[in-house]
Amino acid sequence: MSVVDQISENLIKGKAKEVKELVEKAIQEKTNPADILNKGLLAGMGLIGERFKKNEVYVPEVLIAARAMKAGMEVLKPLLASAGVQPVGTVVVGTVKGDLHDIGKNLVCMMLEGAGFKVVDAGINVEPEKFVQLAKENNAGLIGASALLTTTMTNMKSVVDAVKSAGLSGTIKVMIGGAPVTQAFADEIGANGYAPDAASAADLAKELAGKK
Amino acid sequence: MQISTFIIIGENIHCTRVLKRGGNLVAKGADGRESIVYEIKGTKQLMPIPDGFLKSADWENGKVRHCAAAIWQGMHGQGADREAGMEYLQTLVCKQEKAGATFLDVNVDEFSLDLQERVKAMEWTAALVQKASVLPLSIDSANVEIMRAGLRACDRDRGRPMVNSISLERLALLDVLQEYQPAVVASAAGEKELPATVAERMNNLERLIPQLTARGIELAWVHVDPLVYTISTDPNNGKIFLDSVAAVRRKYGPAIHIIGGLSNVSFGMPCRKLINQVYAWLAVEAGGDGGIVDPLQINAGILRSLDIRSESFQLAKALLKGEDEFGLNFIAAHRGGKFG
Repeated sequence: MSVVDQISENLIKGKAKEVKELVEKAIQEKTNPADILNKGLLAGMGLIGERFKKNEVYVPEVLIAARAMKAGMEVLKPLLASAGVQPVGTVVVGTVKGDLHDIGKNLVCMMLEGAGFKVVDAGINVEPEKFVQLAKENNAGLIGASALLTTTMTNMKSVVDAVKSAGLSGTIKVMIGGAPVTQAFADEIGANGYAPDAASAADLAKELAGKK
Repeated sequence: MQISTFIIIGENIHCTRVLKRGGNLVAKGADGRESIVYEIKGTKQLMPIPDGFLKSADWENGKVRHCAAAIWQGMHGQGADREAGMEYLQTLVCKQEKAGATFLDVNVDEFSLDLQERVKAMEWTAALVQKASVLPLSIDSANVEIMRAGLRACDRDRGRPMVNSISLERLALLDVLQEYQPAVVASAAGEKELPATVAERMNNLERLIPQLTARGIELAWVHVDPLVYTISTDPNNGKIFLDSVAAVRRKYGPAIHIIGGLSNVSFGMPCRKLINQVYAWLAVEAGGDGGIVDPLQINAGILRSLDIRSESFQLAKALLKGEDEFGLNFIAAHRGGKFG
């Protein structure tokens, strides 16, 4: 088994220490940093995402896989920069104003990182303007807004509107999700996309970033 | 441990509740209409799912919000459809009452995007649920108008209704207390964010509870919810809630009630029922005396009958106390078929 395959396999099992060591080994063996990333780390997270979508793995297993990916990324990051490997895109993610529920949001962050995005975690209870400000500061092409309540879901429209009134509708796309959210609601408020779960959110982000 | 009472705020009349398509409870009737299956005296009955629900993203995603569908049929359906909607809800209510619910929780916050429609849904549902049962209601809403509509609809003769819930982020709801003198769920949520630690929870409650007593609500009518978070995203979450329960009991003495949305703890895990039951047992051990739960899954009798020496109880306990990091032993035991 090649070292990148071993990286992927250990990542799936959530073995952070092994993943870190294998990435170091791959670097020593002069493996292309883009291959370590795409065929090793991201391939592993992609598989976890698929299994999660099919209810074959549970949340803690996604969590430890993401942790293992992070351990590998820490070693790999400096090399990616010097090799000119860019993240797939940058996403600002947060729960909308008034909404304090962050479990779903955190899973989405993990899945996005696992899909090769740079994620700016805006946290919970995020003002619409704050989403836009963070997107501008980080040169993000995407905003991911989450809400768990019907009462706070309406604040998603404020995020879409804030992007519009900043004149950035062409450059920043908004995707939304959360228990009460539907595709119809996304269409109604003019969001660019809706995802029903964390793994689908990563797929949608790639699609919106034009990388799929 | 002696478990004599366990206050149950039955959580099932809730518009976010879903059934999965493809399961036994969603089927096509003889007339070809997609329906929800229920039973009356051992005979299978069907409640047709309203057309609007069949066009929803939920349906596309393989789910149907069954309580919302039944309320819709009851409010807007015609003839036999309307009857079936009411009968379906009454069946849910009777099951909860029989299983030992103390309060019946009604939540229509997710029924519609239109506030007036939600207010009407609360009035209608509160009236219907009370026809099917003698229990007091727990009005579950973040909105003060819906809360008032629910409390107004409550028949006072069956005991105090409950307000679910008041917290520092929802102080507007304080206004209803003086007028209705309800039982209250006091949540440990903060003004802007959810508390992370035991100390943050206690700090929030210490600022909230005096505002309840100032409006004439005695501690014996206060049901503290220290907030249950899911164990699957942080192994410490189980223990933090249990420690908070103990801290509330120490601080406020025997009169106050301590509950929680106990099933939150198991989100994202396999064998949720087992985890929830063991968690309820541990909450009682820590000083709690109730929960916002499904009484068919958790009630005093079920908790008394748990075999605390069994391997499954011990595995769940280790998970919930943070001694099984990331629940990997528990998940492995599940995959190994240890929980049947």
